[in-house]
Amino acid sequence: MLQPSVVTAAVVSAWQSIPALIAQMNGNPANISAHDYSWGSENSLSKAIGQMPAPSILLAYLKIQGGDYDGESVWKHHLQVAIKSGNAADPNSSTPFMSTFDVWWLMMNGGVFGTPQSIRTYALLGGNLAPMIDLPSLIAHQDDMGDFCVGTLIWPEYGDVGAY
Amino acid sequence: MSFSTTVSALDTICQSLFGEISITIHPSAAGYSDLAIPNAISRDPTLEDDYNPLSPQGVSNLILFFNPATLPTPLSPTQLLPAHGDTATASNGVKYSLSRVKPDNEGGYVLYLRRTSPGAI
Repeated sequence: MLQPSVVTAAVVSAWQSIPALIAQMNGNPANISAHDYSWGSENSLSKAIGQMPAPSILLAYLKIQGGDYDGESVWKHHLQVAIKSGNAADPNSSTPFMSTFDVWWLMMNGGVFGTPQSIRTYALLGGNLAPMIDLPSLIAHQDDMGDFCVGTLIWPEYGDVGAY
Repeated sequence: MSFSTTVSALDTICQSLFGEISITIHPSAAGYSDLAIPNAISRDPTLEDDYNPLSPQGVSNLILFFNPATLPTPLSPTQLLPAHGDTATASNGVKYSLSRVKPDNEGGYVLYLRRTSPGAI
């Protein structure tokens, strides 16, 4: 079983390797980050989502599901990601900001680590995370301050890795 | 001071007394100049932040009330009232985008601003 924070860090670094996505994050890779439920050093997840600047992406672990899926995978890592896009009306932005749903499209289809492979097909962590079998989903949310989206992603772990 | 004079000055007095946030609105519409609001009143955000709006760290969600009639300098023809899509800079240097404008029947406005410059998440 891979350590959850290792899984979230791998996904964040894959997204940070998509140049067009970094442009959508105002050129700042730090706007893509992971929430690791570190009590004391992090806020609660709901508060962290509330305080996300625009644009930013916040990835968090949702659950780990055990089972014997295909004889080769016994763990599925469920993650959720909150997305807030940049101000499309800002006349001073260096890149026209896309809508939240289009940013998600970029996250799911942009080539990672300089390859043409998307995060859905790239085998992360040297192949210890298998390409996605269960396809990702995205749903719109609203709060007092505006719209944002929350996506869910599931990565099967190849084998039972243990420490990485 | 008569009662009617006191009542008519209520808006200005309240805004000067409780309005402690200075913010500059940068219009998204081309050809218009910045609007400085020196005395906007901050409302507690629905999603509570970790800091005071004027702290060096700033806040991620800023909800402000102001009444254009109480601005020290009236709007010029090259200035517009704030509109969604505008950007803004608070006096502590934190940058925001204006996501929603809510006018009231008495000429006042509530502005909903979300931070754009990096902040702690």
